[in-house]
Amino acid sequence: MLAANTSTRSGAGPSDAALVVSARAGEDWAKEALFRRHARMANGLAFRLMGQDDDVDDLVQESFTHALASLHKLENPQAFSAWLGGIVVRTAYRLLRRRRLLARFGLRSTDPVDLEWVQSSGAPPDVMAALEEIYARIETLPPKLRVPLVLRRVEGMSLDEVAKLTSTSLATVKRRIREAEDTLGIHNEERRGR
Amino acid sequence: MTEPLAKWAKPTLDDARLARQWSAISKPKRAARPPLVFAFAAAMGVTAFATWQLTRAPHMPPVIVQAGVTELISSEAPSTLVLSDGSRITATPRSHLSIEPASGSTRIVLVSGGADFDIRHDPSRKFVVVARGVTVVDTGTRFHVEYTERDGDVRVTVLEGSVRVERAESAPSSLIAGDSWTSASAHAEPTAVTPPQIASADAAHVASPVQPDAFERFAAIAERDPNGAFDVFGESGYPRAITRATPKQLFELGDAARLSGHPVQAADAFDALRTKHPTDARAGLAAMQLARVREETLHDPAGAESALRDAIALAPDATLREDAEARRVGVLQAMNEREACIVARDAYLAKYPQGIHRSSVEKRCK
Repeated sequence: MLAANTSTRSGAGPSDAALVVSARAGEDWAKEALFRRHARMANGLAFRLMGQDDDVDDLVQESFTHALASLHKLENPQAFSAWLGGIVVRTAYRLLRRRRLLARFGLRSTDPVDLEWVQSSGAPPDVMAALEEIYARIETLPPKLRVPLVLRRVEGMSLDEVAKLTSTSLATVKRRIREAEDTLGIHNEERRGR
Repeated sequence: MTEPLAKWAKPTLDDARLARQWSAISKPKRAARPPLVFAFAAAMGVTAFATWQLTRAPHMPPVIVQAGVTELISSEAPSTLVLSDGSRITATPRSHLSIEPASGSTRIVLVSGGADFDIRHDPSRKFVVVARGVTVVDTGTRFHVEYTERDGDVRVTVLEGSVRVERAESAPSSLIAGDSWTSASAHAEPTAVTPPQIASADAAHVASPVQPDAFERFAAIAERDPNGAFDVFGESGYPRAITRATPKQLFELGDAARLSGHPVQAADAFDALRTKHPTDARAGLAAMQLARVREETLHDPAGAESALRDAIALAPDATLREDAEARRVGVLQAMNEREACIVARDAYLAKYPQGIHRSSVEKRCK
């Protein structure tokens, strides 16, 4: 599901594996090429996890900095995109927890997500309604419920993929998504159909 | 509604924003953020210190050095020193440098910490920075040298122009703007290697560099420990390993040799891959790595240029080809092949009007 835009400024680029190998060898051009190739995916995922634009730059920068410094830990260089997605998710957890902590101490507002971007997205009415249903009260969810919900309902990932990205069991993912949907009062066709 | 909602939920992204993000990512990593209570205490401390500094010494003018040995010791703030030729040295906080101007040369010893150097290049005058056995020879540039006491590494970062980094028992490295070099990655500290116990002629044969499982042992550690991987075959065993290796193994042999500070063996492995297996997917990348080793470490621009021509021909895709074409312009300039340099430069600029190397290529061949 974490599909990256594989085009580069000068056309199709080398495989992710080739770029990772070069980046590991200290080639700066390969690091920048990896960033340019996967920046849109990372920005999109960051935006949807955070629900607003304010923290996206921090999240993307922290995730890429960590990823490029940890390339030696990547076992399958061709799987860079999914690996980076996992890093974005883990970094988002941390930022969301920090945000809630700051809000608890009164150092950050707990305003709901500004849904103007939904109105201007040009999405069909049913899509806009679904997005509003999720994001209108998403700030009330703790990160452990919020992240699986976004990955499942917005990113459209399978439960297995969500479990893998959040490093939790399938049963835990199902329980957390159900709890998030119940908290937000989201109508779930899948559960009704069972 | 079968498509993921994600299709409709995207941030506004333009080139300027991506450039800002990349700029923040490619800068040296900042320290981890401390817990809030420490951040608050630190902020109070900084405020108090800043207040004390402002009331005590609002601005320290640069020291002008004319002659004689000068010690530059910075406290909690950077200290700037201007040499008589206009070159500027800015010591980062808590650093110690010894400046020794002499006829025909300026020698600076970095005792601790780091410093930025903005040097007015004079071909008749050598400017050298020495840090823990690493010698950085300026060739007209701005660069930063830092010594990290904790891990004993010396790091050199070139901001403009070029420098040459020299170190005992290692081939010198040439760095250009944007390049970084660390003593840790450039040269492994010598380690005591216990020779294999040889009990008989048969045992000696078993201990030969290319044992049946040698490639397996090599592959198991190649990524995390290039020094250990190189030692699986050793200098004497590398040529035999290269003749027996598959294309994938050749690439790994080249990388391990390169990362462990054995450029000759690295070049041999990459060269074997590009010449013996030109249809392999890695051949273009191997040619590129070969060019890099020959240009930067072996100081063989003609050999590098030959490898780059292969890299351009064998590159499996456009980005690698673009990088090879850009690098070839620089190599031709280093070879003083001005006409060929101009042709290659103009070809690059015409072919990649938005290329990522455009700004550096434009400045070549002049």
